[in-house]
Amino acid sequence: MSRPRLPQAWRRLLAEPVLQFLLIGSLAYLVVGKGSPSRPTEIRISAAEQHLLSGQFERNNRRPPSPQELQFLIEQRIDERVLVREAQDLALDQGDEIVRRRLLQKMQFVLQSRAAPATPTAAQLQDYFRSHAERYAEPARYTLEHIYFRQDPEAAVRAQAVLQDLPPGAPGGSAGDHFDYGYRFVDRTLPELRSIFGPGFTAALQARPQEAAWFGPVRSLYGQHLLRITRATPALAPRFEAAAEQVYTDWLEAERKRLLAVETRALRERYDVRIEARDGR
Amino acid sequence: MKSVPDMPDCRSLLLSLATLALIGGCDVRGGRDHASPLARTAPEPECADATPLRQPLFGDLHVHTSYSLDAAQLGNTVDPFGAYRYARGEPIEYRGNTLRIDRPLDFAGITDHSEFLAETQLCYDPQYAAYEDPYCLLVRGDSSLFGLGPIFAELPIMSQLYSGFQSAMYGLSAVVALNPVTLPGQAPVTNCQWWREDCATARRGVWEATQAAVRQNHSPCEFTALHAFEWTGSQNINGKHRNVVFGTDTPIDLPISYFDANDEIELWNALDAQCREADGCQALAIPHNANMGGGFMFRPSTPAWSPVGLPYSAELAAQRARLEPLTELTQEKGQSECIFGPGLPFGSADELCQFELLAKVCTGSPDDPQNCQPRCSDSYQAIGGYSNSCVEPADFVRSALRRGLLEQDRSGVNPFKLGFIGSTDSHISAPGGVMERSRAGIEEVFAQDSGELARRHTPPVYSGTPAEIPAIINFATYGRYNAGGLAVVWAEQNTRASVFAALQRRETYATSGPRIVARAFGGWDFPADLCDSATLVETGYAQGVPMGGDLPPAPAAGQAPVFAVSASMDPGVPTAPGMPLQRIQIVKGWTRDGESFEKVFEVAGDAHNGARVDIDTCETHGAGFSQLCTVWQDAEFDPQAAAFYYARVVENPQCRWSQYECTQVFQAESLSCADIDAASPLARCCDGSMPATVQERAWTSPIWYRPDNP
Repeated sequence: MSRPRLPQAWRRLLAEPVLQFLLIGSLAYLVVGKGSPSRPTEIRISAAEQHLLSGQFERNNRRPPSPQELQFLIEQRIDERVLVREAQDLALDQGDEIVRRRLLQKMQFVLQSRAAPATPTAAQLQDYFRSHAERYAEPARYTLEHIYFRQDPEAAVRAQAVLQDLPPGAPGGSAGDHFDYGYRFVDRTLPELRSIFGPGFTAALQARPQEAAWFGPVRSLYGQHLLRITRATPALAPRFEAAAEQVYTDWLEAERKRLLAVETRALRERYDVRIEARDGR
Repeated sequence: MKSVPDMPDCRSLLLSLATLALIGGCDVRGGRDHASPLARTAPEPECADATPLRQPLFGDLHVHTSYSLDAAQLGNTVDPFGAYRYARGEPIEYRGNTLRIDRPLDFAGITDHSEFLAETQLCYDPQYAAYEDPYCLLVRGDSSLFGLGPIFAELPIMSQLYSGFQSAMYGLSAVVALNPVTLPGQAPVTNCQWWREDCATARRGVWEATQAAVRQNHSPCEFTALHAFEWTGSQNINGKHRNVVFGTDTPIDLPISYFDANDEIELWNALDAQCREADGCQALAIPHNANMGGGFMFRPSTPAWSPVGLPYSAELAAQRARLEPLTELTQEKGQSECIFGPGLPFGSADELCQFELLAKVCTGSPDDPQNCQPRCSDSYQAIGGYSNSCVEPADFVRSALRRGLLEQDRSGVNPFKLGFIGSTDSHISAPGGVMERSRAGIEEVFAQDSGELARRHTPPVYSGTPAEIPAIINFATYGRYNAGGLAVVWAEQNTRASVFAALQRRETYATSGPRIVARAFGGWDFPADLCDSATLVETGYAQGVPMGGDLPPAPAAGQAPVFAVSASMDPGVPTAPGMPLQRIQIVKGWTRDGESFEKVFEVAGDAHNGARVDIDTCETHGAGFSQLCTVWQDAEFDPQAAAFYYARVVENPQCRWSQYECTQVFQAESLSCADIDAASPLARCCDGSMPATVQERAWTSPIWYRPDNP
């Protein structure tokens, strides 16, 4: 028996430098290319997966699939797998925003479930509270009444005239013009009062902390006002007891974010990240 | 003092695999913690600032969160817990942007679509088996189904098809494509057509989580959270959508969907059956987007204005009037007050009706705008009000109010006795996020541009890089949107009972966004100098009726009604000061000899105050009024004619949000419209397809006059 010989065509092909280059290159890639195992070609439809397929069919049709129907579902699943692998090889998933987002979302789920926040200890909540104290401070609040004078050249003069004869205990709105927001405001913060009277008004309140007597006129966005502050509650330093509920919610949210960031940061270690310098603007 | 809650924030919990099983209140799989239906409403406290003269409370009763299918499709992951936090002034994280309202709201109702409530949960959370089902792939528009993700994102036509598909989800696809076609004799389509048991459980769970968010955030005297949902009914692609709002501490067992109640009458019947006053339950249905109703929202009893007339018996008209005392006059998809269309039946000659129109109507005049649409009642079968392929002037609210008077002349009952609210229709879980000049407001508009998948993530604020321009100036489909409006109620105090009672008696008004305060009373003997008196409100209540009311009988023959109307400008916030007012108008509608009429009266301020805006800089010029008040008598009053009167409070003009965007880029790049051709991403800044300026406004609920006064 003669020694096996490659057909003529094969020999010519193997003599092609391009092919030699490709062959050697591929070999080198397989040997050197770390983390690039040969392409997985196995597609296995596990018994569990077949159960899942069968179950889905049953839920949708309210009867189990016949053997032919199940076989069809399995065949379909195999084709899907093949096409998905081929699509991945062709990098069709690259640059696809939907795929990218879904992957991102799934990975975040995975990371969050890997590191869910434990129940916080009282000390942890206290710590969180202390380091975010400004968030739980109680702002200053004012209870006040007013008498309004529509914006016209005489408004301040009219206000002065009313103030002259105003008995100390007179209620708000007992003279003057109609004011849409009403005449009495209870325990309002300065930003709240600002969004009623406009800018520039609230300075007068801070200057006159607690005073049951009428004073003014004070100018607002809408005209002139006589004012009577019946209660001024100074800003309160934050108290843990008063804010416990909010502290807990905030801690949980922050902890969840922190854990996700920690997990993500740990994964980053596996990568060589380079941020190029920007040119121009 | 409440203790540390055992029911923490559900937003992230719903997303978290590990914690899901631990949480009772927001476990979407589990139905538990059923409040007794007998204890629907707890006694309410008397708040320190309670006043019989009533105070204005600002709110939003139309908000979607991650629980709504279309919001989830936009990538919204903020649930109702987050939405209520936003309403109360706390920041939320929306797709990488921190959103924060400029001023907290006083009340809100989150109205997720009751259709696909469970499917949205099951299809958007990979932990569920259903996630990979073809149905869910279709729901998510998943590229693994189409294999065409990038194509959808890039080709305008495909992206239009794609967004068309998504918006048809609620109508055609759901019924025809995704479910077995319902043929005569077949069982009707239901909720949870697929994976029935998981789905039914999830549906209950999502509704319970929605209720838990209300309970967690309801804080009497400070913030009112109202139980609510949206019933998303339509007919021939014409919107009949309604938000259902409850006045009680416990709503109905499950929300009513389009699949449960196929038209509005079935919805009313279902509400009457499931939410009975005798059991202490109270509910309202609030129609919205009559501008997309195509003749189906306020269905007439005569076929002249719609092929789908509804012959109102007095009984049906009364049921409608009882359950639907309000309508949402304005929101992100435009205003529904009136449509500019001189010469058309119910087309208005009122120039201010050009404000925030989603679709313009063709009048047949050579001056018609290029992008106008035919009247739905002229087109073959009145199909497509919701898709803007036609528009029906008779379905706008002012027309419905006029037709209501005609119905009343006919049957004795007015089925369209509608007070006004505004709302946002936010799909980014941002109730009251109406700040159009800040990122938070406009994000809404951009989030809506569902054809532009990748661009939705781009913050729409120009940072000075020319390459960003195409991503920023992205007005193609949704340039006509705005950030939405607000609902305002006049209530004794900020409690659920007080807010809901104001809604029921229509002592409400709508704003297109600004926090204008508006007050109106109608009567017969108001003194002419009432504005100069701090007792205007006492007099208004004692001798007349507030907005939303019915004029009492005239004390003597020959008298004409008098209206006291007052308004204050929005003071704004330091970063965005409010605009001064320009004027107050009164819009009157009346009937005579089986026909209806309308007229707009200028009653306060000055339409020609010279206020203007320079669109090259968006600087405003000219003075306005911080406050306006007037007492006005109808000199043209006919005691034999039924009539309604409502006030419209109009601000000075300013740049529209789209113009702010355009001007910002033009200034930064030293461009002008002379440099812009039709292919430029900036083309729509210059082609006149979007108004350059707006006059924001408020509309008070009408006051009605009825000659026979039963």
